[in-house]
Amino acid sequence: MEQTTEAPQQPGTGTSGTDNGQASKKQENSLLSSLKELWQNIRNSRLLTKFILLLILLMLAFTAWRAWVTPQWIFSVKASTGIIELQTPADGEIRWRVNDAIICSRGELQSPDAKLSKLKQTDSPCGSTAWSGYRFRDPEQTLVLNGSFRVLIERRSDGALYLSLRDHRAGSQADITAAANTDGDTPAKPPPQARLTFTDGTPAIVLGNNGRLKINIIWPGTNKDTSGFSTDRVFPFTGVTTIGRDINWTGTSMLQEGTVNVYTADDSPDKREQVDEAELLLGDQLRLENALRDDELIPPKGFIRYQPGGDALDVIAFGAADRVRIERYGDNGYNFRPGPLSKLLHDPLFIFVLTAFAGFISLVGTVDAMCSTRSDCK
Amino acid sequence: MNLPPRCQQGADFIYNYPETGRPLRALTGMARAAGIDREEFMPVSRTRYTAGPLAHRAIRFVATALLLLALQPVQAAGPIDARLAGDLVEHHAPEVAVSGNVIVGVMAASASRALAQDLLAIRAPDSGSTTICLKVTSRDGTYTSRNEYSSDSAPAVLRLPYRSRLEEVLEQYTGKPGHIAITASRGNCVQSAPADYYLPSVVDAKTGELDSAPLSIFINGFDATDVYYRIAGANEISDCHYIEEGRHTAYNFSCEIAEVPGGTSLPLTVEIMREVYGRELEPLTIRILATR
Repeated sequence: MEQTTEAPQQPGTGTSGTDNGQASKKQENSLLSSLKELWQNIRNSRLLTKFILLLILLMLAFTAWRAWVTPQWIFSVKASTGIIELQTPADGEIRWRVNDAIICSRGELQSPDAKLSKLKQTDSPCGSTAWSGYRFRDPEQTLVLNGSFRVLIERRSDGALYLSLRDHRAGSQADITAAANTDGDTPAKPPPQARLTFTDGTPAIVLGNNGRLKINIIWPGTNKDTSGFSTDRVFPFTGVTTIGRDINWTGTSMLQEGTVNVYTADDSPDKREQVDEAELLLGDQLRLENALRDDELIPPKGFIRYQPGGDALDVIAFGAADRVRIERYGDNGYNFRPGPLSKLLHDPLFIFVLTAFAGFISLVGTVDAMCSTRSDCK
Repeated sequence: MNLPPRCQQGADFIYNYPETGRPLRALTGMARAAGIDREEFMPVSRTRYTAGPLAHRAIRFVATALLLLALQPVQAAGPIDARLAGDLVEHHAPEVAVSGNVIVGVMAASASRALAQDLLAIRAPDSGSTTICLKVTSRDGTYTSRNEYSSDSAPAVLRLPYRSRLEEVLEQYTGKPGHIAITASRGNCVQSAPADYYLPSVVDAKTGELDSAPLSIFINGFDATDVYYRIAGANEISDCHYIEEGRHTAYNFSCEIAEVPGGTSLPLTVEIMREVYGRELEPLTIRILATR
């Protein structure tokens, strides 16, 4: 005799558990089927097609807009050049160490210091008799520029370094833009002033006579015996920069070589990416202009390094702009800027929207494909 | 109003009034110029004196025109057109022509405007036949033209016809002050460094008078850091200004002579001095043959 003992059934388990599972599955199925029904309705009503078409049109419009809007790039220039021209900004101060130089002034320098006449050079490289040359012994004499000036720095083949300092002629486009952005309540800016300052007790000398500034600062060659000038020299600057010069049949100072790199103008430097690069050839001329951001002129910045043993000035300059102008001998020149595709591929907003768009389209495609392969979707 | 009897009788107004045809042709031309329609002015429908108001208008028009003509002040004759040798030769190319001349422009400030309006003229003080070499150069060096003109009518104000085929290109330069330089030198265009210059300016087509705008001399300074000018007879040396804006391949200094000093005789002799960091280069002297 076989005895079988059956475990007593617990209330609430077994059949009822299966029932619950079946109920939840039913619920799930009904939700799924209602969703599928909804999807089918959407498909049948062509609402989805219309929506996707609208989305594509919007995406195209967005792409066109992002390709059209001009972003500000960061242009970084590294060049070796024989000549560079700067136009310093109206509101800013630039300091350059000018020890060991001959200061040439068209007309006499004006100073309360009686010793000044003793410093006048009888045999100077200043040129014609209209110019007076001075040499100061202070090893820390400094040229201080407050305001807008035109500066030309040239390195000659014999190693001599020439710096010409002139008034900036008002009326340029930059001046007009600056004037347009100045409201009536802004106090008038003080006139530009250039002065020589000393640390050995010599009183500061304001440069320029009768509102006419004509100063040449000359380091005549690298020969220590004549100039006592053999160390490296650095001129940091802010201002509109022209590297190189138009080629002509009389001058030999020109841009020798260099590269222009374009970076995305992200405010955080660690996020900057290089977008494009252009090579500069012998004789090119490159112009970095002021950038206009929030009604404010942002001038390019950089520095010039002179090395006695080198054959050119090393220049590093960078500035925000939508393009830089490169002029080549015999050619009208061209604006170097990244193309529309580079612009889009480095636009974070565009990339974000494009990713979202692509994700949405993929999702729709997947759902549609799933429904198409199952009979209950039909 | 007394009208000829035939007119009153409805005769052919066109051909019978007045008796001769000549004045009537003149009248017809004036009416056309005034915009009066032929049918309106000339009642060919042989109406009787009912056409009177139109006839009145025509006669009043003639009377007014004659009165205005009589009241016109005696004016100078218009400019004489110089003969252009051949077709106008001009070039615009992205390949910049780098010129070797120091003097690139000697002109009245208004002359660039005159180019666009085809009202460019000079005063040629020489008597007898005159040959003029007209050169036009844009500051960036992409637009250039060089043409010879001649005239046997000097001394006179000579208009130099300049019908450019590159009007749109030219307007890009003439619309901005200082972006185009013009020289009109005496003699043919073969000479490389002429010394005698006429002063191109805008001419009033009716009166033949030249504009009295200030003088501009555009200089290709090459390596010069400073350029000055001095007018003969005046001791003062004045600065020429470096052109800071944009590209300046063809010329990079402008000398503005706002007013010629009183007592200066013609031709006006101007000395151009250049310096490279204070070192003087060979000065140049030009003569401006007439200023107005």
